[in-house]
Amino acid sequence: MSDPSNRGATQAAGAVAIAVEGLDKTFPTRRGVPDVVAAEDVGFTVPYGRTLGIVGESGSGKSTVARCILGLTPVDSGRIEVLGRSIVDAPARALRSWRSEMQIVFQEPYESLDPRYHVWEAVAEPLLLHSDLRGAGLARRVHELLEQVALSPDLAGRYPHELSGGQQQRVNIARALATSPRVLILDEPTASLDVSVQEGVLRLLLRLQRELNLTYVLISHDLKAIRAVCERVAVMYLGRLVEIGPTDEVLSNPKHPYTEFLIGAELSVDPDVAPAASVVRGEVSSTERPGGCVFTGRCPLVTSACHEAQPPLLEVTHGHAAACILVEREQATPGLPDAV
Amino acid sequence: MTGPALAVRDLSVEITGRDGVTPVLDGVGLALRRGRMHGLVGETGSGKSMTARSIIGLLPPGGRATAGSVQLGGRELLGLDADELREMRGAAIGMVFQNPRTALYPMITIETQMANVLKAHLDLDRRGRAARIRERLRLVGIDDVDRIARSYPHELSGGLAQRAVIATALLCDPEVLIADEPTTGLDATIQRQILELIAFLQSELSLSVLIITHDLGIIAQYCDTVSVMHDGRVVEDGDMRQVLLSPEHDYTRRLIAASDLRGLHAQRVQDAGR
Repeated sequence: MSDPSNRGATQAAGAVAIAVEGLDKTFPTRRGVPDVVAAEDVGFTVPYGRTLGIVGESGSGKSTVARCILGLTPVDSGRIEVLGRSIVDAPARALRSWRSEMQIVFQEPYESLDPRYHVWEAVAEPLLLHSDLRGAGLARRVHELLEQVALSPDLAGRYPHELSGGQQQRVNIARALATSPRVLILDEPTASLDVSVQEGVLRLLLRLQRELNLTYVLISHDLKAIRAVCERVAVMYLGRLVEIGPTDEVLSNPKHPYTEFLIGAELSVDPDVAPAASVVRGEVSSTERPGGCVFTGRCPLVTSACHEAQPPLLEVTHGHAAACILVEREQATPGLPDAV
Repeated sequence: MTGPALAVRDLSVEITGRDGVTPVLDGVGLALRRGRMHGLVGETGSGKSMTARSIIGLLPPGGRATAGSVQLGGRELLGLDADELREMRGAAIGMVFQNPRTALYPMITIETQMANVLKAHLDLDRRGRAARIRERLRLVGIDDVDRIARSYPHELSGGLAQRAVIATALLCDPEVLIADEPTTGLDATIQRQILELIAFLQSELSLSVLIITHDLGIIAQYCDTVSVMHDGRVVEDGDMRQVLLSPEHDYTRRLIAASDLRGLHAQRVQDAGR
């Protein structure tokens, strides 16, 4: 386990907790079907104590990227550093021992729990595996963890099926926190929860981040959750990072047509805020990946040049970048006002 | 014809199980006006799906309506026998459920399952059925109808599969379409396509649509009227704009506030400023 007193030393302001560069990952498929490109030249950094959201639809590769960060899925090429350690070429043994510092919370709170363990056992399990705590010390730590996730000690004897979805997810979060991680990957942690419960869990995650200085990567298809929790957001489509930047900036001033579509598809609970009039055609298909820009199949602004090459991620404003030929052209013609 | 297309009055339902009798619906009422879209919104356990299942006579084992009435165009549905209910489902009422892949039989083609529905309800010959199936597939926005008709469910994307389910539900020209979480689990852009399709069908066919959802965004953008359910009761109902813009019940207010996570966003922005 990490030595808490050592933490400050590695965390100068803006120091990077997670760095991903040129990440490629392709999954082979059966003969005759093109391989699925889950990640292609993906790169980003997440500073200590901050949250990066990764948003995209099914098949965008967002969960694969998360699994690569944890070393759960081997990469084809690229560089991944978490807490200053290279994940890509790390031996399995080392990865296992580092895993106490980087944990993951999954979408399905019930499926993530062992139905035979009640709450106390579920939270104690990672401590028995990764720490020397036993007896009274163990009990104290379990109690502390339950308190951290705002679960009443009265629930300690309950089994997963006796808990609500929100309580189950709090147990999963307590388990993830047990080994005092510094990085938490949150893979759609509230997608299967009711809205009122979702807000409570997200609020809890924000509080834990402040208290424990955690670094988060939040994978979500829900822009409302991303907006509520993440300072920065990365938008993925068919394995490519198509846009990245400060959340409020990207979502109010999107530069990639796909980001614009995602925002346009959002249904506001305010009847006076209508979604975009145009509806995106087609569907994402991981097995029919177009050449050139990955979005050509569905983009309404597509030009013949888009089929030729994948445009690079280019910075639009400070920290906000998009991979679209329109951005490329705008930048090639200096002197034009930004707001064209 | 006047009067609502579908009216539920004072419906109470209980389920008898191992642990005794559990009331699940308590005096539920709702009215679906002709050619309109009514939303039934609530969270897990609110009773919204149980209400839908009561309407179509598909209560879970041990489930029983203890009071109330369900009327389709003036005809009482509670108390119909199994044959009468089967006749009504698929003919007078079309149904669309959450997961299109489980709504479709995996082992037979789209054409075969649609033909089976037609055989059960309409007197058409083989060519008549093939024509009807293609016409309905086209109606739901499918271009290459022959290829899709010959496909098995697993060969279709989630969006296409849900279109096929909707086409099947519309085979016998129902007056009422019940859609229970029709877009949950679909990607945002596909969700939007399916909702636009349902709205298009509603106006094109003068369908009366009852949409059951946990998502207030769907209510706000697509429904004319709404019932908010909580704990087996309708806590608030009426004109959609009225309910969402000036909610009277505390639960409705909480649901709206939680739905857009605006409070959380404001807090994050505020924290970042410190």
